[in-house]
Parts: sequence; C-alpha cells; structure tokens
Amino acid sequence: MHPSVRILLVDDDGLVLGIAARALEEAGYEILMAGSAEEGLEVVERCGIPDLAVLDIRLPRRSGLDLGHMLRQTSDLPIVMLTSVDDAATAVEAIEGFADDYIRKPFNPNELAARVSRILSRRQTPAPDSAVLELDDVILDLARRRVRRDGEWIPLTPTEGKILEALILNRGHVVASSRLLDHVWPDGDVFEDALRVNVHRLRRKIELDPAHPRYLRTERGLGYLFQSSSSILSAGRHGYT
Amino acid sequence: MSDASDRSNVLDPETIRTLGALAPRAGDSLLTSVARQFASSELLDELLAAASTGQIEAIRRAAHKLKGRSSMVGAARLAELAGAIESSPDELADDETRAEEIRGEYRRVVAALWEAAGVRGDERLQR
Repeated sequence: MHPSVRILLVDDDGLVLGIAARALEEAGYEILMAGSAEEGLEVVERCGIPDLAVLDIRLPRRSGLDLGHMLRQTSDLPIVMLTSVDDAATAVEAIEGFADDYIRKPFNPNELAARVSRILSRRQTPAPDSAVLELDDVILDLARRRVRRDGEWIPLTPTEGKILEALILNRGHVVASSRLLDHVWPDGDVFEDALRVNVHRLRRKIELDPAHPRYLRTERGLGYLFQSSSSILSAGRHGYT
Repeated sequence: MSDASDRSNVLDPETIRTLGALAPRAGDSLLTSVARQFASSELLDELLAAASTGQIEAIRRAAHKLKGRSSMVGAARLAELAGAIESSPDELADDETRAEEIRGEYRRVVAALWEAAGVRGDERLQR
C-alpha cells in the first residue's frame, strides 16, 4: 500500500481511465480522475497537486501536452504521458519538456503500475543520514522527505519537502511568501497560487485538522509560519528507518 | 469449436487474461465493466452517423477513439478496421459494405467481452 500517494489520471476515454485506475488502485494508489485538461486543473485546484500525473495527449480542447507544461510550471511532480500518439517527435518534445515517461497505447495495465511505482520510488530515495522532527502526533523526516502519521510513512513531493524544510529551519518566525517562492522555484516564474496549493497539500499530510492547522500557519499578507517547540532529532538514535 | 476458441478469434487471450486478473471493485469485475462500456457506447453510432452525413473530421475522431478502445481490450480486427477508417475517413462515407463490416465486428467484440466476463445473455441487460 502507498497511503496518501495520489495519482491524477487524465483521459477522455472512460474505458481507458477505468483500466488504468483499476491497475493503479490495485497497486495501492489513490486515484483522481479527469476527462479533460480543464477538469484536471480543477481537480488540482480542489485537491492539491498530486504525487504523480498520468496524462493522455489527445484531449478535447486543450491538449495533454499543454496540461503537462502547466503542471510543470507550478510543481515538480512526475508526469507520465499515456497516449496513442506514437511519433517520436512528440515523445521527444514531451520528455525534453516535462515528462518522466512516455507510454504508448495500447498499454499493459500492470506495466503502467510498475513504471509509476518505479518513478515514485526513485523520487523517494532515502538520504543516508536523515534528520527528523518529532511532534506530538507526527514525525517529519526532512532528508527522506516523508511524514509518519498513524504508523504509516507518507511521502512528500520534492516541492513539499523544500517548503517544509524552509519553514522548519525558520520555525517560530514568519517566512515571507516571496522568500519561499525564491527558495522553492529559484529559476521559475511561479505565482503564489502554486505555493498556496503546495501548502494546502502539506497540511493534508501533517495536520490532523488541515482546516485549523496547528503547525503550518498562514500569516495573512506576510507569509507562512511553522510553529513548534520540538527540536531536530537524529534519525539514527531514534531508529526511524 | 469451443466458446474460448471463438472468443480468441475476436479478442487477444493474453490481454483478456491481464484484464481479468485485476481485482473486482464493488463486486464488478473489470471485464464486466469493460463489456458494459462497449455495449452501451454510442461511439459506433457516432462513427456511422458521421459517415452517413459525410463529416470527415468527425469520422476521423470517432475512428481514432474506437481504434484506441479496441486495442486496449485486444480486439485486433476491430482496431484494424477503425485504424483504416481513421487513415482514410472519406472512404467510409461512401461505403455501406465497410460500415456493415465494422458494425458486425463491433457486435462480435461486445459478445466476446460479455462471454469473457462470464456474464450470460439474460444477465447482460441487468448489468
């Protein structure tokens, strides 16, 4: 099982969505489905940035390539193209632009699940000497980019990890949104909406009640604040492996 | 000839095995869900309606989608017919024999999918 690892699936064919979703659910992932690029963006706005996206290219109105570029501008989530477009030029464009993998239809559902699992596990390669922050109800493992809640390790995306790291290093002090934007996306022309979406997702992972956050607070008009009196602990001593 | 043998002429057995092995959801096997979607799909009607009114781009779009769906369930002959229409959509517009051929193959695929899902004829209407 992969608790709270969410995958966005975008395809305008319900049959393809159904097959891909069933295979990925069986692999233990939570699936968010959309039938168009626009619907995919709505899902992201509503539920936050997923841990990985699987996108068709030939979608009605706006293409999956456009959607991939848009998602990449606001997040570094892994993106897998799943498409019947089989010309090499399109595959190269997608891979050079944003895609982590390019799978051609018809696809084997088990192979899709294996590739997704492989990509996610590469993104979550643990660091050798992790530092952890133990709070009352959660453990934050920054170097390994994961959170332990209710006995389960929940992976953080690289973006979420960077935001959390910056806030924890400055815990007790407000970190301006502009500073966080520079820290997380130093080369990107990214807007505060992307930051808000990622903070929203982080809260879902670390807060017991995300609507009334205890640790990750918004200071309206200023930025964000991580509030905790806990100290950084060494992973080795506490055996968090 | 056995039912399984008839079916293997229409659907690729390996693809059906793979789909059949995925876990059921709410008591519904993936193959049942796929058969239902094929049976209730208006895609073939859209394709033939577009052909009867000579809407070339609509023919191409529907044929492309039908090719993709057919390939996913291992219906190679149906995918081939749809692929040929996608490549030359104007030819379907004037060819009733071809329209009948794809209609017949579509029916065979739907029947083979129900068969593979283990759903009998009298149960299919309820699914």
